[in-house]
Parts: sequence; structure tokens; C-alpha cells
Amino acid sequence: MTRVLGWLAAAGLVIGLVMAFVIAPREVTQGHVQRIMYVHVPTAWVAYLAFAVVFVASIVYLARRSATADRLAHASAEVGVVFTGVTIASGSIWGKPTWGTWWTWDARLTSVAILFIMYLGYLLLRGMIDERERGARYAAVLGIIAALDIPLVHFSVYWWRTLHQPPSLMKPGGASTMPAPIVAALLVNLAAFTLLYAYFVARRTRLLARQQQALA
Amino acid sequence: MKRHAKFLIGGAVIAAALAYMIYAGVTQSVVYFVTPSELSAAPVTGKAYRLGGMVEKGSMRWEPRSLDLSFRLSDGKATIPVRHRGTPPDLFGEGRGAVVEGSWAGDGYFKATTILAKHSEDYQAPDPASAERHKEMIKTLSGDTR
Amino acid sequence: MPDNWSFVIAAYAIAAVALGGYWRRLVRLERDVERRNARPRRPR
Repeated sequence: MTRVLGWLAAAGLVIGLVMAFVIAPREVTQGHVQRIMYVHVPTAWVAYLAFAVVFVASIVYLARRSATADRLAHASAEVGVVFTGVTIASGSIWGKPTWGTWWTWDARLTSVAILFIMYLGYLLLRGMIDERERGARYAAVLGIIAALDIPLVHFSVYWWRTLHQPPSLMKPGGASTMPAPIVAALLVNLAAFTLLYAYFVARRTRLLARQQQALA
Repeated sequence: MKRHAKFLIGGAVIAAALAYMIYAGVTQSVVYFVTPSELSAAPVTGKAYRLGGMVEKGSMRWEPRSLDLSFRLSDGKATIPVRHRGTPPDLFGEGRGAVVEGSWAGDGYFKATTILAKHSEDYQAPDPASAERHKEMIKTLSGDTR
Repeated sequence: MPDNWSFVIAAYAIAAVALGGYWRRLVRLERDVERRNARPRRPR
């Protein structure tokens, strides 16, 4: 099952690359550098998804004390941190030639940096407490609190003045006016990166179960 | 004990980073930039500002030799003349959004130290008709009349 | 408009290194666990 997921993700990423570099046209104002969007936006989406999964799994853990939910939260947080890192790095590389800066403290960038640091802290907390039940409980509480930053990140571009542009695809109640090949390339990459996320989480969850087994 | 110390240091680094970001967020992100109307209402000479608006059409002057750049930023109600020395980012241009960092010089203009271009979320494909025309033009120029 | 291909390549390369690196880390940790589980457990 996990293996199938892995191959699907790999195939999706290959198609995604073809879409991003062959099918999608050169953007008019930015030129080819706009192609960074096909990795930046999907990784940002996966970061949202990953931390949303942590949020739900944390609630389930606190309600039912299910070890599976705890492992899912742990795995998803770890994968989410990796994807958030890629989002920040690719955004920074995109920002330099277009905005003229690698970084600025506008609301979008600041809230994302806070998101990244909070989940790094989450993973640190997980490693810090040896007693599994207590560690899981603390992590679940942090996993719920930290998730409050997700809507802040997403809507920051509407709530405050920012350098970052509003979303092109996930607009609240507005259809995209982008040309079809650009939208298609973005959607394919969104699907591919989501599959990669699912594959990573499946594998990490299984690994956590085995690690706990080995320790028991 | 060694492991404990490692986590303590890690925790301290994360707490410090988080504190700095919240500080940066409160001081910089809440009002990331002021508009030309807001600045012209109460300009303070020498104070550091971030000013955001549209680069007015026909206002841009660029001297590639001396790197002197001047333009006007507008929000539709007020306009602020901006002067800068340096190369602007690729996406900077008339009719587009820009955010400039610098200070109000006091003699009627904004002295920018950094120019940031704000771009739209609306990405566009090249217009095939104009690309076709361009190709035609190149063909006739090179004397290739197939 | 300059195309800044080097920035495009850098962004995709960083993504590939980070995601590929994470995948390799999972593979390595799995191998470690297998090895530990295969070995007879040490008495505590």
C-alpha cells in the first residue's frame, strides 16, 4: 500500500515537472522565474494540510488516548516542517529576483516563520520527554495551539498590508482568471505533492510504530 | 544530562527566535507600509518609513550611468515623489505596485534606500497573436519571405 | 524581462535535496530499526 503510494507520488512528480517546464507557458511579466510557483504553492499547501492533520490527530489523541493518532500527529508534524522549510526556501529564491529581497517582515512571511519555528519546537518537545504518555499529551496541546497560526498565515494577505501577493488559486469565493495551462500545471503539482506527503506520513507512522516496538 | 542540556539549548534558541518574530510581527507586519495619503498627512522628517503605492505612469526617470532613479508613488488620493540610487528589481515599473524603504527627506521628497516590487497574483500566458506578429516581423526583417 | 533561470534551478534543486534527503533519512532509520529488532534483546 505504502509502496503503491510512493510510486504514484513519483509518477505524479514527473508529470508535474513536465507540466511545470513544458506545458505551462512562460509568464508574461515575470518570465521563466514564475515557474518556481509550481513548487512553492504545492509545498505551502502541503504544509497547511500537514499541520491541519496534526491538529485533528491531536484532538483525537486527547479524546481517546489512541497511540495511532499520536503517531500520526508526530509523523505529520515532521513532514510538515520539511515542507514548510521548502516553502520558505523556494519563496525566498523567488522573492529575490521579483520583489528585490530574499526576506522581509510582512505579515505573510512573519506568520510562516512563526509556524515553522513552532513546529520545530513541537518536534523538540517530542524528543525531550522520555515518558511517552506525558510527551504525547504535551505535544497534542501544542499541536492544537500552533494550528491557530494556519488561518493567520493564509488570510494574512487580506487582513494586513503585505508585500506578498494574495493567493492565485485558493481565493475566498473567487474564480481564477489564470490561463488553463498554468492552472493545470499547478493542480497536477498540488496532487503530486499531496501524494508525496501521504507517502511520507504513511512511512513515518509505520517507522514510529516499529521504533516504539523496539523500545518496549 | 548531556542530552538534557542539548534540549535546553534548543528550546532556548527556539524561544528566542519565536520572541523575535513576534516582536518583528508586531512592530513591522501589522502596518507593513504606509500609503502616500497617510505619509503626506503627517510626515516626520528623518523618520524611517516603508511606503507603498503604485508607480505613477510617466513619472519614472532612470539614469543608468549614475543609477539615479526617481518616480512618484500614488494611492489614487496622494502622490509622493521618491528618489533612489541603485538598480530597481526586475518587476519594478510604471503602473505597478512598489514598496520603498527609506525616510522623508523634508524637502518634499522621499529618500528611498530599498526598492521592493509588489507583483500581482494574476499570472498570464503570452498572447499568441502578438507572438505570431513578432515572428512575422522578424521574418520580414531577415528577408525570409516564404 | 530577464528570466533568472539560475533562480528557478536553485529553487527546484533545494526542493529536491530537502525532500530526497528526508526520504533517505526514513530509509536509513527503517534499516536501523530492522537491525535492532533482529538482534536478541539485551537484558536491562
